[in-house]
Amino acid sequence: MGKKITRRSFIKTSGAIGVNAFLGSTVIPEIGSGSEKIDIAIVKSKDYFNAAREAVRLMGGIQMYVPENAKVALLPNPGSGNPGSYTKPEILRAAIQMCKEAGAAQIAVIGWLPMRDWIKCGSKRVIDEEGIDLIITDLRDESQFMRVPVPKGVGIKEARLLKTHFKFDRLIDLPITKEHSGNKYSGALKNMMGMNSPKSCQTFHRSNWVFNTDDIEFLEQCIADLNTVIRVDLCIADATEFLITNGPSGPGKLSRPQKVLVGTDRVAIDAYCATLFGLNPQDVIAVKRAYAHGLGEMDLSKINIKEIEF
Amino acid sequence: MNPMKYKIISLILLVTGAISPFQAQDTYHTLEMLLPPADVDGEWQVIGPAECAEGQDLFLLINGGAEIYHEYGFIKAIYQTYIAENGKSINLEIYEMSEPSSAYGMYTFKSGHKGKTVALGCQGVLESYYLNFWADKYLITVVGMDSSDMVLKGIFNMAHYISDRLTCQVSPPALTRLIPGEDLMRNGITYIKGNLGLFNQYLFDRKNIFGLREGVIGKYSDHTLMLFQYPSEEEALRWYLNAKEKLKSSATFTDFIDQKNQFEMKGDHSEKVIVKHYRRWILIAIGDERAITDSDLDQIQKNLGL
Repeated sequence: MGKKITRRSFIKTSGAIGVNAFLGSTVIPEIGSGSEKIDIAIVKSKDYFNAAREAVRLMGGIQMYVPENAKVALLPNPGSGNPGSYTKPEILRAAIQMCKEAGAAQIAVIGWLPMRDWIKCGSKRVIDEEGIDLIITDLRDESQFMRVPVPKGVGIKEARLLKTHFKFDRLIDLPITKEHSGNKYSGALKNMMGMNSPKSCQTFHRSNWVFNTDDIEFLEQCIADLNTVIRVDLCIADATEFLITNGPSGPGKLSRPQKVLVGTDRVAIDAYCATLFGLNPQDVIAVKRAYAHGLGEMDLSKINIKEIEF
Repeated sequence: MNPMKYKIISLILLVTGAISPFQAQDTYHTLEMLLPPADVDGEWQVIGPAECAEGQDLFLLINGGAEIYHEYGFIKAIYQTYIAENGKSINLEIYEMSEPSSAYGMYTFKSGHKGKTVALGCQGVLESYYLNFWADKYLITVVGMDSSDMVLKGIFNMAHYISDRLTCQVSPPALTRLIPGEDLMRNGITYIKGNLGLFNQYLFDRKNIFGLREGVIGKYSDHTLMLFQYPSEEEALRWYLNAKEKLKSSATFTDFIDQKNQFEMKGDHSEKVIVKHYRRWILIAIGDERAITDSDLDQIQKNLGL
C-alpha cells in the first residue's frame, strides 16, 4: 500500500490540482485557492458519468488518489441486478477512465460474486468496453482469501480478505447507498463485505442468528471491525437512484436524489447518505461503531461538504 | 441493443451461467417446472440456466439481505433472467417458503402501499416496475428493468404462466383478520414472524424485546395498529413486562405513563405509542396524539371476540 494522504497534504495539493477538468467553468463553481477543506464533494445531476468525474475534480482531482503507475482495484456493488441495487455502470466507467487518465499501470474490478451478477447489472459490459480486468475470486475456494487479524475487532478477530486485493496498491470503493432490511442501511462501510470471504461474512450473522436477537447490532459491529483492516484510498458513492424499501436486493420503492458523493472518509459519506433515507447518522450502528474505531467523522456539522448541481 | 450485441450477451450469459455456483440441480425440479419457457409470449428469451439457492446460500444468490427471508422461513429459491431482442430484461424469482403463512408474510413485507391488486395466485400486487404474488408456500417476484408497456406485458405473461400452475387452497393467517379493515391503507397489512419484520416497520429496539414470533401490522393514513400473538397468556404478560422495562429506560421514548396492563409513551418523532397486554396478545397503537385513542385498541379487542 502506498503512503496515506493526510489531511494536511491534501490541503496543500488540492488547490494546485483542482482545475476545471472537463466541464465549462461557467457551469461549475471552482474550488478556491486551496484553503477550502472539503471532506465530501457531492454532485447532483442526471448525467451520472460526469457527476462522478466532477465530484472527484472537486476533491482535488484523481491524481490526488491515484499516482502514476499505480495498480488500482475497484470495488463496485453489483447488487442483485434489480433497479436501485447496484452501482451504476456510468459511475464505474467514470472511475475507470479517471484512473487511466491518472496513468495507472493496472486497473481491475475485483470481487467474489459470480460473473452473472456483473453481467446483469451492466458492469461487465463497461469493464469489457474499457479494456480492464474483472478478477473474480472463486467464492467457494477459501485458499483464495488471506487471513488477516483484526486487532481492534469487537465482533470479529479475523477477516479473510481477497488475496487479489494485495496485488494492488490503491483501492477505490464504489458503493451504492441503499436500504437493507437486515440493518436498515447499506453503503460505503458495508460494501467492504465484498472484499471479505463470503464464509467469513456469514459469521457476521452468526450461525444461530434467527434466534439471536442481538444479531442486528452484531452484524453492524462486524462491518465496522472489517473496515479497520481495509484501507480505502477513495470512495465514489452512488446515491443517484437506490432502493428505499426491500433492500438490498429489491425490487422495492426507489428514491432518486441523483447524487454522486466523493471523499476519503467512509464514515462521513455513510453519515451523509443516511440522511437521504431520513435517518440520523447515529441511527446506523455501523456508522457509530466505525466512528468509535476512529475511522472517520459522523457528525455532519463537522464535515465540510461541497455540493453542486448541473 | 443491436442484434449482434444481443447475441454476444446471450452467449456470455449462457457460458457463464454454465459455471454459476448456483446452477439448478435436481433438488429444484419442482421450482424449475414453474419457470415459463423462453417463448411464453414470443418476445422473451431465457438467458442461461436458472440459478438456485437453498438455506444460507440465499445470502450469496441475492448478494446479501437474506435475513428477512430466513426469519419468515426460507427453504429454497430459483432465479431466471429473460431478455428481449431490444436488450430489455426481466428477472424472475420463485421462493419456496416453509409454509403458506411464510410465503404470505414475505409477500406482505415486500408489497408497497401504492401497488395495484392483481388476480394472481392467492393474492398479488403490481408496483411500478415489478409484481409480487403468493400461492400456498410459494412467493413469486417478477421484476422489469423499467415500466414500459412491453416489459409490463412480459411481467404479466410470466406471472400468469406460473399462477396457472399453482393452486391457492389457503387463506391468510386468521390473525390478519383481527386488524380493523375500515380505512386500512391499500395493501396495508404486514404479517410478521420476528423482530426484523417489526424493525422494518417501526423501531422499538434492535433487540427482540417483545419476544415476537407472530404478529400483524395494519397501516392507516395517520396511524398504525399492531397485534402480537403468544402461545399463552403468561408468555404474553412476560414479554409485555419485558418490553415495558426496556422501553421505560430507552433514550428514544419519553413521557412514559404506566397504567394497569397498558403503558403510553412518546416516540422520537413525537408520535404517541400505546402498548396494551390483553390475554395472550399485545396490542399497540402508534400515531399522532389526536389520531389514536384507546378505542383503536378496543376495536381489536372486540375482534378478538373475548
